Amino acid sequence: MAAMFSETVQTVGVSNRERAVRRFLKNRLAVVGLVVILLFVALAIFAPLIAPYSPLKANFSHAFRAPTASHWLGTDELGRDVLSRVIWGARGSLISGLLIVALGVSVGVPLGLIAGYFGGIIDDLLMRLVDAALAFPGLVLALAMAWILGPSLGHAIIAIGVVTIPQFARITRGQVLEVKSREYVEAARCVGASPIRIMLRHILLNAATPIIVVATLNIGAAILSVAGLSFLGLGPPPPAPTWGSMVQSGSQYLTLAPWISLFPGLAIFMVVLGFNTLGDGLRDVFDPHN
Amino acid sequence: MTTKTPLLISAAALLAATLAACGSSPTNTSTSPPKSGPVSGGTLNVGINSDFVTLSPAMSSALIDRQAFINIFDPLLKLSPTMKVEPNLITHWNITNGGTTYTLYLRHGVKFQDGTPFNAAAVLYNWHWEMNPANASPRRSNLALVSSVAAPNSYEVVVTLKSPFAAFLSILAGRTGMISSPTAMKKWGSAYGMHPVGTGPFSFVQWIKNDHMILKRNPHYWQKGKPYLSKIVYTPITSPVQEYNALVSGQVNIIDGVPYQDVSSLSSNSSLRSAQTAGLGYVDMELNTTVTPLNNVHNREAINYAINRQALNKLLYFGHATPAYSQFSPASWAYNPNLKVPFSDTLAKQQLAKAGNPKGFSFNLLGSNSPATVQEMQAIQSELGKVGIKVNIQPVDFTTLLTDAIHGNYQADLLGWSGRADPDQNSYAFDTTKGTFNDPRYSNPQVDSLLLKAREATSQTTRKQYYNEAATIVLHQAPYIFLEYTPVIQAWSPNVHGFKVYPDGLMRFKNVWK
Amino acid sequence: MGDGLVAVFIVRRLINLIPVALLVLIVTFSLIHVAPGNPAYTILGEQASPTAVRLLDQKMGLDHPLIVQFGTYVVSVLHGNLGTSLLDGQSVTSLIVTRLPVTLELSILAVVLSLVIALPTGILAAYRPNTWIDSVSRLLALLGAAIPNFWLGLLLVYVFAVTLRWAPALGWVPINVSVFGNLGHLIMPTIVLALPLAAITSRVLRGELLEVMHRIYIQVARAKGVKEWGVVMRHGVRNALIPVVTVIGLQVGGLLGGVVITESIFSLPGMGQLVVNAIFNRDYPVLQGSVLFMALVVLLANLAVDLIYAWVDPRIRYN
Repeated sequence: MAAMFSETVQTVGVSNRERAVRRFLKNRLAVVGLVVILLFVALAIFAPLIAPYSPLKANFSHAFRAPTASHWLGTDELGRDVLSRVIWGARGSLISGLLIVALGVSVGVPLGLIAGYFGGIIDDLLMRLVDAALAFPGLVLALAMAWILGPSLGHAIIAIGVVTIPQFARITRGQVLEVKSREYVEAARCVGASPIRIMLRHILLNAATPIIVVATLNIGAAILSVAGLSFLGLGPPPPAPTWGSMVQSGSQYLTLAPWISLFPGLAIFMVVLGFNTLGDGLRDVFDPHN
Repeated sequence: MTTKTPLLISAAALLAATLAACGSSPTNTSTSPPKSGPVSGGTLNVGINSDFVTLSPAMSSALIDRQAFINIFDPLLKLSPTMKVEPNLITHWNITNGGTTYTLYLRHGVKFQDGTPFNAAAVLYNWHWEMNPANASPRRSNLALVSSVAAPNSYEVVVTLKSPFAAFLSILAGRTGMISSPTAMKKWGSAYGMHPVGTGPFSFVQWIKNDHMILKRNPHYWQKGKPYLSKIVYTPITSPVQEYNALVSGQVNIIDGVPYQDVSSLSSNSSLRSAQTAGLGYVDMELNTTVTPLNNVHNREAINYAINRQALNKLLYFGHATPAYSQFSPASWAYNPNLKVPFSDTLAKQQLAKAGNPKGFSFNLLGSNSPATVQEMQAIQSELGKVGIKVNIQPVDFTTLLTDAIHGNYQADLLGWSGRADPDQNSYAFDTTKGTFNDPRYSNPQVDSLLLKAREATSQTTRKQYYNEAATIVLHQAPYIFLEYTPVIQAWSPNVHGFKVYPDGLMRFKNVWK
Repeated sequence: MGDGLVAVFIVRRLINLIPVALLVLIVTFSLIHVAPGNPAYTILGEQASPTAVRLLDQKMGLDHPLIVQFGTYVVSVLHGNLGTSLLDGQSVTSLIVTRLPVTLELSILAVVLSLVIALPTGILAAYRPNTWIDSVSRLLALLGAAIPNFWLGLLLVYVFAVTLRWAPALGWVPINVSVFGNLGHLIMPTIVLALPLAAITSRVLRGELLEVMHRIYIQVARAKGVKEWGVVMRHGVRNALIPVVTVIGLQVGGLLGGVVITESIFSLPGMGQLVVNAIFNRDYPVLQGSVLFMALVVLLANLAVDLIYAWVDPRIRYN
């Protein structure tokens, strides 16, 4: 899904950096997205300081309490503070989103570089592999893998990360092919620079911006997938406060205490929205047409 | 209800007025008494909490299958609403030779739904099939005490037992007493579980797994004029909330259970009827007595004291369950309301000290991954955490849970038992050394002997005494931590008549009309 | 362009499909080998009895060398045999066939609804780029793409089925039983599935329209004095719809992922529920077969997109 937003991504020279920053700041949506992300990052980092209660401390006699001054987002089916659980849940959510994309980038980008730079049979082989991998509905493959490996956050990250790899391979390869044809790479090759040097110095630098855009958008998508796995019970075991499992456990009390599902879902929504608006904004910034 | 159109409101009001006499009495066992007599025809849409596993009574070990069996198969003996054994396809019986010979007299003129005559040969065919180890029938253990069966004539079956067995008649009211058509069993072989043929009021039509199962009226049912319904459609709805929503929105006419959170609002909902009765079943933790740290009886007893069953009842069952301390529920004649352990962190800590780990210990708790079970496991985790016992929750799929429990490959698990009419069926296999359901691998010669005496005795008073003694030992040795007796709460729409709630939770539709 | 070139392209595309399909088969075959240890234990659980493991080894041929297993697998898949369910011995192919109509109808309705949303928003946004209309359309797209489908599903159930009682909460009525009943049950799942798709389609449509409108022939048309709106509709939209078709084709995979969650929330007896049930019942052959089937559907969808593209836009054939 994220790849689609990047259709019109173009490269931009480093010298334009300052102009880009100014343009970014003019894009109000993107700035709001960045602010939302930073807010959640802060929540994640300072969870122990910010959360008013322990995310795990149950208090049966306070279960199903509607939002009040003492529990801003109400309490859940064990009497735990929903706000505190949402705040702590930001950790797992953001970390898994970042790690998934890190996995996708660290495997996908080299693959794309190799395929794009060398071309020929290596390219054919790698791209057929990518085609095959892209044929699998990401969530379904992740579900299957998470089940085979067993439920845990680590396995969910691996499962979704693996599914993300081909996207980065494909986008990198596309950028490499475009950059490769430019004169200065040709020139560098003529001078006798080693392939690795050429790739890293020139191609990677120029291909970086679209990869950053896609990565940003992919963090949002990854967070959604992790939440989906947790919702289906294939995330870390309880009582870990994950947003997806909170939505799931609240779903049995939708009429009695809708806030149990409502707020963690809202948190997922906002974080993903944050990354998507940021990614969307970055694309505009890097897009010289605009 | 406020969003309905005026037309619907008036229709509902009219219905309510017509049925005003019925009311709904969620705290009593009640029926919807007819205003007018039964009407034939109509389709009943039934919501059930999970899909069937097999429709062959000889191969079934899932509770849900029994919901279908009770209507497809007429058991040899039936259970009354108070769980007393009554004549059915067996019209009368004699017990001789000190309780080891049962002579069973069969009803005449009964036919299976495929036309095969129901007789002693059919009963023998079923039981011989079930006793054959090659068929791996879960019924085999029920018939383990049978040394021989014979049919002196077409309507008489003589069962000789190796030793007296007080629960034998009760067993004939369950799946062992649900006789399949031998013709159909032979015809379908291992696929018989998809093509059941019994003698019951409804015959099997179609089963699309995870979607629906259809039964139709058996026109040749031996009880003339019954049943009334022409069709039953079972729809599995695994989420209790969704199942309840399906009833409220009219997608199904009756459901096998009501989410506890909605029970109190049932009585004020004029568009629903419901009834509640004490069930035979309970929820419990099984503690593996052969592995550390739960092989230490004091650690187990500490758990017993540290769990506040009242609080669990209030939180998870909204107060509709009953704290449990034994395998015999309030619906059983063996129930003893005085048998209990106090909730006391002090006593729990004393036990921890006696066990040599005053600061507590940790163990893994296995349970199904349904949201309700996950919530209950977390509640237990929180309760035990207060005295320093650390619980690691492991939600797994149900198959894994059962496999691990049976093979003793666990430290503790959260399970439950649906309960049977005779106390023997709720205790012997669970508590005796090498009992087939003894997942905790508990072994106590005293309990073994008490439960053996209880199954061989004939007087109910004597038996109750034995069960009480055994239950007291089991409670304090704590191979099981009994948590709650679960009630049977079922609800239906006002156009369903003649339905009765039974402590076994099985929905019998023979007398129901729409 | 002659039809000969189209034929060459099609043939080349089909030949390309063979190694990809083979790789897909390798992936589905090796799924179970991702976990360490004997696959039979992964399927049955660690505590499975040796007898059960031996039986499963025999049933699934797990006791043969891997290469033999793979060969057998490929041959049986080519024969349309995806194995049998461990739960009840039903053939996986027939299970998929019985589940397919539900998923197919749901997916088609979702695509249709997504177009109903995406076409006006996308076109309007392109017609007035960088105005408030464009911003609103962009915001809607961002919202649609970010909303967790399982959460949206619960919200819809809560508001429309539980509180307002407008739509049935769950379940399925076959279309041959009741057309209205059938559609009534699909309203909410369709919305859940359609929103993210509409979001992407709308943005792509806008982008493509803008590009198309920049092209010269639009200028030409404008010079001829055609009213501007007519230009957008006649030339722009028609040209921009091709990439939209591409997007929808490429989204088939995402759609199937959404189907899994949507069907399990709304208890729809389709492919998605089959997958989830297979996972919770440890019914590995059903899981494996469904994953393979879904991957093949995606491959075919991509093929179809390429062919349509080639037909409409001849330049692509040279790539």
